[in-house]
Amino acid sequence: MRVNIEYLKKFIDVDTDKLKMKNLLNSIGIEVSELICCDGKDIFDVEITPNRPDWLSHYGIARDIHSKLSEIRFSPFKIAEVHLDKKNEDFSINIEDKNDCARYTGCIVRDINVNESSKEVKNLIKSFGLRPINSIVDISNIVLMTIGQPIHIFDLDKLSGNEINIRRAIKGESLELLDEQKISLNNEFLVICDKKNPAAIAGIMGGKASGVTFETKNIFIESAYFNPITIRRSARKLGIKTDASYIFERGADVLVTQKAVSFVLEMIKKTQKQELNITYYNDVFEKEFKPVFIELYKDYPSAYTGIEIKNSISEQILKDLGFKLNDKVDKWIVEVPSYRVDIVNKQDLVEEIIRIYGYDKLDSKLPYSFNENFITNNERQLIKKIRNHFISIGFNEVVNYIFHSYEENKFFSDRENFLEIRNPIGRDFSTLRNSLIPGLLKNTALNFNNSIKRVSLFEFGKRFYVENGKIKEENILSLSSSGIYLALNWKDKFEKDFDFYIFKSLFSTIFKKFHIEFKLEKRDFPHFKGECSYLVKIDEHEIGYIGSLKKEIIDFYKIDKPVFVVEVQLSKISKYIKKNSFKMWNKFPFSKRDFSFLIDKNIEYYELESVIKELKPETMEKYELFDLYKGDNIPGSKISLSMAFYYRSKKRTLTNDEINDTHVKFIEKLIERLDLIQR
Amino acid sequence: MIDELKKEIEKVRKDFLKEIDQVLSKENLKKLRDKYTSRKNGIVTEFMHNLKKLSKEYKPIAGKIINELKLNIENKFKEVEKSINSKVYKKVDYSLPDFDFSVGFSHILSDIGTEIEDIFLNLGYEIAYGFEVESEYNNFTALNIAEHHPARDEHDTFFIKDFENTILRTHTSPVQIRYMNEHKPPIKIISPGKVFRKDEPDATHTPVFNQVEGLLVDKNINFSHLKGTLESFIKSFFGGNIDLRFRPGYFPFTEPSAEVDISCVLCFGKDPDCKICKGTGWLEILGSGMVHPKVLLNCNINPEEYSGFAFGMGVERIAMLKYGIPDIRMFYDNDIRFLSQFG
Repeated sequence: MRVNIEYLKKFIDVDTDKLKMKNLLNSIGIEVSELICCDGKDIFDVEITPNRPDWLSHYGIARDIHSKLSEIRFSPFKIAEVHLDKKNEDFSINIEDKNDCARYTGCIVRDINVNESSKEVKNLIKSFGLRPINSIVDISNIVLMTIGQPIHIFDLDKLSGNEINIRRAIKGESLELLDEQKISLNNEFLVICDKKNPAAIAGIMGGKASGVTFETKNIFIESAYFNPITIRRSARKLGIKTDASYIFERGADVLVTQKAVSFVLEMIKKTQKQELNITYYNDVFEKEFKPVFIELYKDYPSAYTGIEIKNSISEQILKDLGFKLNDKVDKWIVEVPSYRVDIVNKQDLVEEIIRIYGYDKLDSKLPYSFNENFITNNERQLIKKIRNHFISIGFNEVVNYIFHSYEENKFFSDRENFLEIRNPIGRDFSTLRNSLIPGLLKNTALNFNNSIKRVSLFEFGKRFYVENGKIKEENILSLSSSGIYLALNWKDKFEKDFDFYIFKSLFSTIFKKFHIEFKLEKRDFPHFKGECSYLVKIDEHEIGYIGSLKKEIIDFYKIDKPVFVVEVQLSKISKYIKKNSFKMWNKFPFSKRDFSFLIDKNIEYYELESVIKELKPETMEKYELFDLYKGDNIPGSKISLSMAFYYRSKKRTLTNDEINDTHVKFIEKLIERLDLIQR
Repeated sequence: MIDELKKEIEKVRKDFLKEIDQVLSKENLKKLRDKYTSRKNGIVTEFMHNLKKLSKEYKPIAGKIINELKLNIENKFKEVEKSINSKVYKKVDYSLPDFDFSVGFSHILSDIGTEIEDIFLNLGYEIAYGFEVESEYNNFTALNIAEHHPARDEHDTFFIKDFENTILRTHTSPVQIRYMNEHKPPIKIISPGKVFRKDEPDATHTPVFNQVEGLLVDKNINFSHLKGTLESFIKSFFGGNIDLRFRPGYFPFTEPSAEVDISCVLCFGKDPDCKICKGTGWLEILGSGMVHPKVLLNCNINPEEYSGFAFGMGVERIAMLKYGIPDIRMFYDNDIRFLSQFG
């Protein structure tokens, strides 16, 4: 809303220094977003919070400023109310449902001249950010901006029949609005109708046909109170937001309609240079107004704010804001004024008191409150450890949107079990991710484009999918690597690209850290290259997948190098993390024995390992593969492996003979089981 | 005859000097020694042998020249041997460029998030997580934002297709609702996480951003406790020289509500042209307030017995202020040139 500081002075004698004014408004809760200069006058563009429709007028703002600076002069808004119950002509106002329209004040004025407004009025209208139209419409806008009551004025001669009906529209009816938009109506819209047709959408906008023009002679003035929810529904449906609808949606003052009409009449009179010919006046108040009463114990404001606030201060503030107080020894019965639709309970009253008393008077205290339920979140600890681990081995953490395009999601799900957004910000953001990999690929492409040659990324985040009709969210860790693993350097004179073995080894370090044994298993995933597509398993549980993305996908992101990715479920990893208790390490020395052999190339290393584990003598502690060769000088059906086996006892130093004996027996069994050829 | 010999000797000397200059190890030194001075077939030894064949007339002169060469070479050998044994050749040039091993960086949003969380952990708050896809009830209705409440306008909401009343949470407050429904006071939690609003990305908006919200519910909790808590957080996060300002604000789920400003972290209110605070000296950083009694009631907590406060802040905004980051979209580009600036 636009606040004309000079116009405020109509009600309140306040220092108009810009900065002071801004701080003053801020301190009572009106946020000044911009200072605009209009014809040399200072105008503030202020943000009014949705709970304070009473601030959508200069008078309303002046009232709050006065309560803040109660020593300054404040001129209550005084208008001689036209208490005429004048029905000189045959006319009627009919409200179909009092829940939609609790009050409707209407007035007919005949024989007027519509002109352009004076330069002064035009400037005032402009200072409110509005456009001057004609002397009558401009008056309705001044009333709106002054006391916050929306007024609509019809050209009486354009209304047919001597009646105004406030009713729900009937399907099939339509209306051309003042902004020349034509709309079709239905039962959801509350309309103001003449005998036959809708003439205005109640509380939102008038119809073009019945609008006041320079030719208008006779007018019908409307000042009403409409149900906020009714207005909000129609306004949302129409996608229209007007100054009037903005106020009605938030709740206008049901008791101000008469006063507003009087204000309109008084201003029209000034422009007409003659007595007004008022031929009809009627105030249909269908629903009795019941003020809100709140019981406020006098010690409550101090208890709830944590500072000492004197009773006299609370009393003064509430009175200045228009509340009526009935003193009952240890409490007040507070009557809430009709324009404060936001005040319903004692906490609301405390806010009023502390808001005006000053938030700067609050103390800084720490509560002595202890959370008995406190538990450490294990997954958070795990995420912290994993994050630190992967950044220390060269991966960069990224954070992406959770939105992907339909196509991207389809890469990772052959079933269409992913979630879509009904109102996305664009096609590329229309589904919820069922994998974090598309985000990593976008980041990889961007960094390659910036001439970064090594892109290793990881992200923690949720993936979403539907299972048995229910929405599932899962915490995921995804990693990707592409480009150069080892950069060229002056000493070794070679560089090395990422390959599957490097990527897998880097990833598996996290399992080493947590002492978890994991396994890969060949499994064809639609997003991986056939020859490099694996399931990641711990025990027999599937926790994710690892592999090299297929060409179609990396082409989609315009990446021209292989991209290796792994994606695992965090909750499944955290289940396997055990709390290890201390074990003393073996203090005796190792003895190493090497063994080189040929093995059938179709035997996977996992198989060899399982046989080793099965046959391994008690004193063998570990083994490692230190060479692998295939090619010339050995049969095509074989590969050559060289392994080292480490022996030691927990109790003593083993003799050479003992070790040799054990090792030879072990090797013999191994050779027999797997048909190995010793080299 | 002598001239020829002189020439020959000169060539040997030159070749020797060239070769000895390339010797860096004991092994190569020995090879070179053998080549020139081995008793069997060293080059210099050969000359000595050939001396015998010369006529008496030339012998003394030639002998002198050859001896000179021999002495020269032997001295040089001694010199080089000495220097190989000394540390000069073992010296490393520490100033050579380092190998380009890869360095990883945690995302700045994780760092800031963790920093905020750690401060509240130290104050005894538990961290609670929830769901990013939420019900409209938990996100709005339970928080005193009824279906036709105008405040819903300010939360441009993403709706999930084919699921009734299902949305992406617009704040992490639904976590508080879930927690209050499952626990009895005292409650003392923070809820960090992603939230979603239907905003077109620009320098100050992204459809996804991160929040940390806090909630404390217990007996006799008052507005001054909220101020004290936020003050200790702000001073701990930004430094003790930062001031706090409470301003009246409005949130449907708190009453009274307060917007919290901090003094400008760049100019401390001293620069009228300050880019960050635009000369006001203050930066809006937090929304907060006393939990609305209706919200407590919705979670089966009696507002006559308990009261509480809640607050919320945007992680990106705090990071932008702390590090002077000009555009919120940078957090989501994941450009390594950006990520690698914040160790």
